[in-house]
Amino acid sequence: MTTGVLQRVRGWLPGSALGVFVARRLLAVPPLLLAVSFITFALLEAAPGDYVTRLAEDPHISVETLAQLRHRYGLDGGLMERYGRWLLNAVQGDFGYSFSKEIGVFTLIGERLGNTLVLSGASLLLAWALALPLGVMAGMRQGSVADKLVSFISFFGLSIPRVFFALLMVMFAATTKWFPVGGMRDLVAWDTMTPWQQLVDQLHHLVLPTIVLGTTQTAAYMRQMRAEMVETLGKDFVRTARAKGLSMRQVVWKHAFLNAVNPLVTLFGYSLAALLTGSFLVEIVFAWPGLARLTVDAVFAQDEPVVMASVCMATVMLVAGNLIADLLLGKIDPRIRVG
Amino acid sequence: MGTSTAPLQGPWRTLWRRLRRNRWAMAGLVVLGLLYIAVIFAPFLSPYSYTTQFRDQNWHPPHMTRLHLWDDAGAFHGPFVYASNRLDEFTSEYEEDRAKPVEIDFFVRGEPYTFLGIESTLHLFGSSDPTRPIFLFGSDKFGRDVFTRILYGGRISMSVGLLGIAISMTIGLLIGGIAGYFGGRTDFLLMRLVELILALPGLYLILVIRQVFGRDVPSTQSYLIVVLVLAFIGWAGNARVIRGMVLSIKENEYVTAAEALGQRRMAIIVRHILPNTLSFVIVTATLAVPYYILGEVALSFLSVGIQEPEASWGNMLRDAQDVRNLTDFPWVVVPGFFIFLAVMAFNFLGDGLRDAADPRALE
Amino acid sequence: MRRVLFFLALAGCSSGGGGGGESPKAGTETKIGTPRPGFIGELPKGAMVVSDGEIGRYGGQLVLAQPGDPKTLNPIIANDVATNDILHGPVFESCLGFHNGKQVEKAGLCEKWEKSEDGMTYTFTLREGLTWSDGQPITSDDFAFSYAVTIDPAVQTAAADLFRQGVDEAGKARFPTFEVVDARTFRFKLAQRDVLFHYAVGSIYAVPKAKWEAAYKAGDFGQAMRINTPPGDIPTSGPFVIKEVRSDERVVLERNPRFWKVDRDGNRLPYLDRVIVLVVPDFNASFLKFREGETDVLEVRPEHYDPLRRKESAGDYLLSDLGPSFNTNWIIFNQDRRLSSEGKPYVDPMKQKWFQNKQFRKAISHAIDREGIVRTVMAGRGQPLWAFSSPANKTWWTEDVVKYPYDLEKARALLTEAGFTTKDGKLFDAEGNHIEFSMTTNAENSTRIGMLNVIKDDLAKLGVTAHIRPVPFNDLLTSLRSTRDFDALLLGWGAAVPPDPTQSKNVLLSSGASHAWAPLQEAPATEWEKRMDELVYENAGTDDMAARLKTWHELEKIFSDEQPQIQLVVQNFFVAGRKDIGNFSPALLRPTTHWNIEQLFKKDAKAP
Repeated sequence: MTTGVLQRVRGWLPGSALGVFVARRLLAVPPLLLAVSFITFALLEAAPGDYVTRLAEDPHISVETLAQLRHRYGLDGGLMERYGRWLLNAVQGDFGYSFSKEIGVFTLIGERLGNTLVLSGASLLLAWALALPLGVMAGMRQGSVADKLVSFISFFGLSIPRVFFALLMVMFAATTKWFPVGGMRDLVAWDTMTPWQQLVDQLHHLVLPTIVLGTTQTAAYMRQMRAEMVETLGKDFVRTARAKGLSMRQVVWKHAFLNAVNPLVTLFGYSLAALLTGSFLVEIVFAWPGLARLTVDAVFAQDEPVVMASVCMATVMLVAGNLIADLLLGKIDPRIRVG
Repeated sequence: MGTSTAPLQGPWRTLWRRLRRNRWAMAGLVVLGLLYIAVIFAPFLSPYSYTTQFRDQNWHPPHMTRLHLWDDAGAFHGPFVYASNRLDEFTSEYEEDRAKPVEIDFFVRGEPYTFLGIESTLHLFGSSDPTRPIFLFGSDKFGRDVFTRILYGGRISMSVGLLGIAISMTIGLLIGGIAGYFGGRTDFLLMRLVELILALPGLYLILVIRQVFGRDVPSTQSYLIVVLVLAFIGWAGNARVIRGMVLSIKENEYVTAAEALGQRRMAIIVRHILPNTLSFVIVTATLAVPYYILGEVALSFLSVGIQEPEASWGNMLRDAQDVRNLTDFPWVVVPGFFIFLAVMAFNFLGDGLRDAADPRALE
Repeated sequence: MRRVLFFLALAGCSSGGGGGGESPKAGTETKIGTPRPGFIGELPKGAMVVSDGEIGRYGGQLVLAQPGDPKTLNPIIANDVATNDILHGPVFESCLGFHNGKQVEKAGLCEKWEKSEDGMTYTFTLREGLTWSDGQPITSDDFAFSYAVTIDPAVQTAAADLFRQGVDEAGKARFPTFEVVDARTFRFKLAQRDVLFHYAVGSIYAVPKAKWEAAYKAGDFGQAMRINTPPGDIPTSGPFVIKEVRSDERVVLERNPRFWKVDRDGNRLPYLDRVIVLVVPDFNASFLKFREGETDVLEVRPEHYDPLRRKESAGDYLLSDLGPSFNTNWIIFNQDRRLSSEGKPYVDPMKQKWFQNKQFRKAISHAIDREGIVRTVMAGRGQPLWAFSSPANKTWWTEDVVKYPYDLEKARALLTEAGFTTKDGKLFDAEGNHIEFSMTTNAENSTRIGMLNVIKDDLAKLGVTAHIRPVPFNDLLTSLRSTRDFDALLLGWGAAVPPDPTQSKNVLLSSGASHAWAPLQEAPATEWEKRMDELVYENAGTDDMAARLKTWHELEKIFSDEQPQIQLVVQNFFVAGRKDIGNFSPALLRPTTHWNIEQLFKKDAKAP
């Protein structure tokens, strides 16, 4: 995706300027990672107890065992010493093993990353597919019945607590039996299905969590889109265009739409980073085997290597998202000089 | 988000005039006004204290739908309910005893409370029989009055959002404005700071911070800490968007004109540029106040929000997160209704405000 | 030397699952259906006959749900419930088994074990002809290896604590020595007597030496048998092998084709072809999944009992009430007399004085409405608890303890007697200090928070101001185990298998790390703690059951009289299972629903 954008962007930017811009952004990544990882590490350190502490719930476990386990996981030593150790390994590409699962963190995260991206990607798609046309329509026909209806629906989507909505959907699934009660696939019959059936089965499982996750986002984007449309349609250049005899449709799509979508593009870059963490409540309620759930569990269990790797990955996603947003912004609104 | 002080009389009056014409927005305003009054006067309006337990009458259904004025014989009593008896000890099922009316009295003496420094025992209403409490919205699993807890819980739920958004918007506007307008190195550095803040995984950060600061502070205070954290993370998103808008706004002629006139750059930012982000600020603030209210629900789900026995709408709604309660004791969704109501009202009001504040809106 | 002999089951009594000495090959038809996959090779000579239960039929699968993922596939380092429920029993068997239903020991991989008269030497004999699921023989060497790994400080297993026998002169932990007698026989030599030593041996879930020795020598035994190790690479000794692990989704188990148990008709076990364990983190979802027929069994939360019971007649499941569970709930006051590392007392001396006052503790106990706790936080499904052990413990529970029914008058009288006074509805001690303290528990557990809610309200009626202090779970355990910065603390203990008092040494001994009200005492601080120590040692020092019961009952009496740990309530335990599961016999000890998984079968499995 990035390269495609770059090529299109190159059409209106001198190649060197773009290169410098991108290079400068990429240079900022290592210090950012350093800062983020240190803050996260320090906070984990500041939280009381560590991964081994919870094992003491078993009254039979001895003090010696706990101490030795601590040593085995490298939990003994001061903050700087342990962070240094982590950093040294990390720059060599070794992010360590999950304490709880004894698996390399990237193997673990890799399994979940795809699942989470499928879910949040689908809901983002749903949100944009609904929000753009509805927002434009509502903005154009301000005050009409359609506008009011769209407003009401979006308010509804914004006002319902997501966890609660998710739970209602699970109950809906259980009562009507139209949809499966959570999970990402039919784990009982999975092995006997053809690839085609497996695909259909996964889509079937995807419907409800996507609706829950997508609704709130749809509402937010739609409000934003409508607001921008209303504002842009009132601007001089739109009026001028209308005065010049362009049809409403042409004005909307050639001028107003591109103008109004601008802040939304920034939101899009931002949402790329949120893809990783935004879905965790839904993942829990729907038993979706995603990354957010893994990381939240890891935070509660103080499984340091997993938390650290997730955080670093989220940071990289964010930088990438922002870069893409800025490049898109430059493409859509040529008045903006990138950088 | 004002531009300057004195000449604002006019615009604000216009704003109010336009707002008044928007029925939905006014409905939102009225609802919010009523909610705020109700939660402020919670100690007086509620018949009990939010911790009072009637353990032998837990999961009592709401009296709201069972209020009577006349008894079966046709005699007038004023508002009353019938006493109810537990069917068996364990399965919280109740039966009305039609022979035993319990009258509702007004301006009764009940549990003591302190309100605005005044100690009092006066409550708006209460049951005439102390062993037969009145549960307008039903009782929860400890036999506490849900109506009372809604009022007290609203005090927290209705205030945190305002506080959070005030902090995060102010910082967001300033940083976004400066970065967008000055550009160059300032922009680069500020945006890296924004990225750092955004890259800090807010959710995990909150969970960890709640663990670090969770000890030995009353739960209301520790929740305030979480709100502050949310705000200090939240400003970065606003700053980014505002910067994007400022980049576009500063190309406008009137900005160039102001520059040519030699106005100070901070003054240009505050007077000419930021006011143009008003619609965004209002829309965002409107969406963000509910975000704090809903955020508390999510934190409660993870048990890091307000803790029992304190009440908040979020932690009360936790009872509704059990399928059994939802089917057998449907009144557990009452806090959900109030969350919904408050969030809707904020949205309608904000939407109306935005339309009213739009200088190009048709008169 | 005279030896005490324990024969646990008839050995060598086997003939014919497949008839004619020839075990069924994959898919071979039998009288009770066709096992898929089929069994391989001959039935071991020493095969164990499971004589109770119905004769089942081959085929079908059982679908379970559990809230968490297995963390490892290594049965030796597994230390959490989600992992143990899958590995310990269904996938790996140990030398000795335990009948969770009857709460008695039963046979396992060993056909017999014997103890020398002085109780210092234990000899175990493996069944003849046992093999791992890959066909390699199970030998004493495998046990030697697994024992060495278990007690190796570099590996660190929870089971190591069961073998630790004090320290030697150099201060190093002492362990029994292991000796291989022959391929089927091995012997432990103890450093000191331990009446429960055979249970410790029963907690070794052995793994094949030939397969894993290299990993151990290379220092990464901890990483051998991870959840992403190819499952075919993990030879097992239990009724099932691991077929697939999909993290946070499911675990699939498939019949171990070389399993060594037969039913009384000589049919080789297990009956089930497959077991699928779903990972369902949210308890609402797991409840609904069961109700809608997606899973076969469910551990029922008390609040879900009513909805399930209402539909039981219409449903295709049975709901069993197993009575009180093993998990106790209690609240303690911090009586720690030690000084912190900064030289300050852990507990404010003013509060310490209250907490060490027996009358005070008894008064508090009387003021707690345990029935109210049951009604509110346990949906009415539980009962008050007075003794240290739960009534679930068939062998050790006793009715003969001091009880503290809800009685505010009694509580007030006790307090007055102890010099406390009440002014303006508030309680003061003899020096005029208001009684005010905090009560800590973990925030994640709404049941525990709920209990504190009730207790706080009850104590207010005595004029005591008690604050609820919810902390993260790790924080709670840190408070309990090391920082000791709490006034009162509410928690619960679960039960070990077997639920024997010696398993609670760490809790009951004044020197124990889990002696929660005042741990790690160099010498018992009070007369009654001294007496409790003596009773614990006496109890563990003999295998004469009558004598052991006597000392235990005396200990229970002291414990309940002194109220150092105020026992609160036990929840009742319910299990629901589909009617078509044969031999379904849920028990209170883990794994509650499938501890006899090799005998479970589906009644509607396809007829031959």
